[in-house]
Amino acid sequence: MSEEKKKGVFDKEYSRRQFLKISGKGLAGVTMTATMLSLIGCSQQDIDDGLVDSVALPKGLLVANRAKCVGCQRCETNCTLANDGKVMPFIARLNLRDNFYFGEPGVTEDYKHGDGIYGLWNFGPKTCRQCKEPACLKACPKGAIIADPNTGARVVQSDKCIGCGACTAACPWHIPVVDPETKKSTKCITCGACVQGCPTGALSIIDWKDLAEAL
Amino acid sequence: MTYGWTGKLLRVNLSTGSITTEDSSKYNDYIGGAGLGDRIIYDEVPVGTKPYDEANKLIYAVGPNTGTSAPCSGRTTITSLSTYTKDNMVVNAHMGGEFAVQLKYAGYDALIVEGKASSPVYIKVDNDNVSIEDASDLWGKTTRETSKLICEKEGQGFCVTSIGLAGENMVNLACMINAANHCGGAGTGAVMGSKNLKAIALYGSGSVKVSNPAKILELNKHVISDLMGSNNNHVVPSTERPWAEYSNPSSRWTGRPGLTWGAAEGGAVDTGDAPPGELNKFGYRCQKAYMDFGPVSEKYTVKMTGCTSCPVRCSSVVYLPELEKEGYTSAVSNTCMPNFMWSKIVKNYKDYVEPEDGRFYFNVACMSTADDLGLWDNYGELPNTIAYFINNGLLEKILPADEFNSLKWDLYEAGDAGFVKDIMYRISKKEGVISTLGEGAYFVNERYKKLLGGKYLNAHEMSVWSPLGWSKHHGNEAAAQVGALINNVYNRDCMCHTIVNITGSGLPYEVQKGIIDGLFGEGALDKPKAYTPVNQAKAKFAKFGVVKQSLHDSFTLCNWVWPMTFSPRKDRDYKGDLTIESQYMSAITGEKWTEESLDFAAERVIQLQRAMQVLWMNTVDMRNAHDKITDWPFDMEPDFKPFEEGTIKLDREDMIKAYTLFYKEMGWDEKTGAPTRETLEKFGLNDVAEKLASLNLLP
Repeated sequence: MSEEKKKGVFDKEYSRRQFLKISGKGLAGVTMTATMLSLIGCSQQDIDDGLVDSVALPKGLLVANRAKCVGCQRCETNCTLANDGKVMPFIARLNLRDNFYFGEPGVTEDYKHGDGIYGLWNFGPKTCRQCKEPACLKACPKGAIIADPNTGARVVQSDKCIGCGACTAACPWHIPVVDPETKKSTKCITCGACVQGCPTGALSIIDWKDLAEAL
Repeated sequence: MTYGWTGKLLRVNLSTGSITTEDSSKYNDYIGGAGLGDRIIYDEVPVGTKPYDEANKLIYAVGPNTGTSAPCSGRTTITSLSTYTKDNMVVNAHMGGEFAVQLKYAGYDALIVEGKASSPVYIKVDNDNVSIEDASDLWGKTTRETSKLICEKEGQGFCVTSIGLAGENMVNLACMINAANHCGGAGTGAVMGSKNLKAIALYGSGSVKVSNPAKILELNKHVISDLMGSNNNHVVPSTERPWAEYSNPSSRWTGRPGLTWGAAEGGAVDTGDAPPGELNKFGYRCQKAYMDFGPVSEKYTVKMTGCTSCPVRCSSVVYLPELEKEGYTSAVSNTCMPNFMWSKIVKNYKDYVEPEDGRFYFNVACMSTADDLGLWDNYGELPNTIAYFINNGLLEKILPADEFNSLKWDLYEAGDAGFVKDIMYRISKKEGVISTLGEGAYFVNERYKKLLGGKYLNAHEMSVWSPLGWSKHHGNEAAAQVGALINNVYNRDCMCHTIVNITGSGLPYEVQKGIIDGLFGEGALDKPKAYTPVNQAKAKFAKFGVVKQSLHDSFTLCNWVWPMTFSPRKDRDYKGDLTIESQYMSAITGEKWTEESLDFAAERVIQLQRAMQVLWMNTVDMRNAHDKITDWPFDMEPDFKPFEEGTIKLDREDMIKAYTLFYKEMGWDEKTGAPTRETLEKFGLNDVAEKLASLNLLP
């Protein structure tokens, strides 16, 4: 590896650590600089109100902005086309469809003021958090979920997965899903297909280097 | 492995309670969607069946492209018999939203509903688990309440498609609604009501298999980055932008720096610049509230939405808390006609928060009510009819005095939407004589023929295109004779956007002409409002319009955006790519498809529907029985003569010739417009030709 490339990797890792140190798991509680807000495409108020979700990925910060999500669900179809070679939103590594109508809490009496299209039309995808201490990984009886040495993402080793669903049950957001057709668990590998195909940038990955410069 | 198609049809008989599946591949020649629906009606519903007869069926169908992630592939076509046009012939209703993908992921190419339940029911489809459920408690509920109650019971991820009061009471102009605001019209909601079918709840966790997933992803990127414009494929922005060679104030590509979704969660979101090539900004191009409601709506706009898989997002979400105080659902979404037609009924509008916001509030209140009731505006015909009866003093002539006086005239005078809401409820409950106005223009005219004296159906302000009762849907204003011809192909308003997406693209006429004349021959596209007598190139252009529409309604794709005739890219000389659908079909199926072979299959669908028109009307004389146009397109703009610069007024003799040329293109008898044996056999419709022959119905 050339010196220049090494430096790039080092910078990226450094930025990530620097950022995580400040922000903990994501953006909650962080006071952003104007440049950072511009990069992420939201206001400080959005962050304070918890409307902008973020996940620290090896390649950058994954940001999901509800205000920008238009509900097309292309993130789910692109995810499965890229990862599974078929279109199957049920196993997409992020989920919008199940909360699209009534939001995460499900149907409530005051649904007209809640999330989702039967409410006030606020919704956005739930993404894999790539947790520091992943419940899915811990719950797997076969040790099939590991941290990928190259990307750092927590990935499912298909040959070891027995499709028991322990990962789905353990994840607080039920993001890993067992494909009913292959009987194997599916989980985000941070490939970025969802982000690349999002027509409004409601999903975006902000490069660590750019974020570091904006810190 | 089956690619694209699921290979299965689901059949639910509400009379017997039988639920079965069968192989769908026997219909693959008809692609899916409209084609599949038409063929099933042809095969299974006897000629002369009436829409509310138990023998009528509802076919909810998708196609090989549905749910593949192709942009704008979240469409369902519902086929049944028309409730509201003469002779109750076959109609296709076009529905967006979430139904299509849920049906497909549940594992079905189509759901056929037949028979009639003895009491209110809903159909629950949870993948392989299909059941008929009691809906007694849901009867009388709004479409939104119905969705809420079913999701509460079955799960929050179920897509519910339901009817409201209008469908329950078999109001001819009733629709079904899925996912809060996506409508399947053409009276199909009333057919659901006739079967005691309140709703369909779908959840699919299966997959759509495609032969070449990488190619699908590549096509998706190419289409969104290089070929697609905005709603109706308008390919230039509405305002001058430094990166755009052209702009056009009529364009639905309204997004620009400074124009926002003003009521977005957490604060305004700027729509900004979304030049070609920038896929992640594409969804900001169409700020449709601004287009439909005007500038006053900007601060109320939450975001844009639309159907699954569509990046265009033509449906504007607006939130008007003031309306909630008056009992309306106040956060709603819709597009086009429902957003601006209801306000035509009154003369002035009650302002709410600021001067001149009244009309916007009025329209949103009415649209919200119509969606609750599942009441279909029939491309503006219902509001036009109500306005016509009021404005011409006809309402007081048809209503008993008590009923007339019981209308909320104080609200009418005040410009309060409550006036229209009251009428909508009366129509939806079939309460009083005023409810007859919901029968559709043909039946309204039949009922009050003497009183109306031939004027109503032919009035320009009614915009009724056919004496058989359907509305104009982009007619002579869209390439003169070309748009006009298309409006008579189906048994309802044609819902065809292939042509108007070209003439309305926003590109200068010279650019449009260069591409269109290149495709169909010199003289295919006239200068707007300066059109010339008909020629064969225009007939070819018209055929292109309906064949592509038939393809999209069967494949399925949204014909409000497709085909990609033009592109927003200057470096493509604004040329689109008409082979894209066939490239998708090849990537989906792994078979070799070309534009020609896919168009051939799409044309088969039109040929079948034409043969069905001959059968249902029991005459070969389609020219006089089916293809007539009301008077107003010929008599409009009295200061002009046809072909003069400044008018789109049609000429009667010219249109007779136009039909002759169109019939020739379609392989129909040039005198009668009926399909010939040779044409039907060319499309493999030999059995249809035999049936017509046995009834002496071949030209």
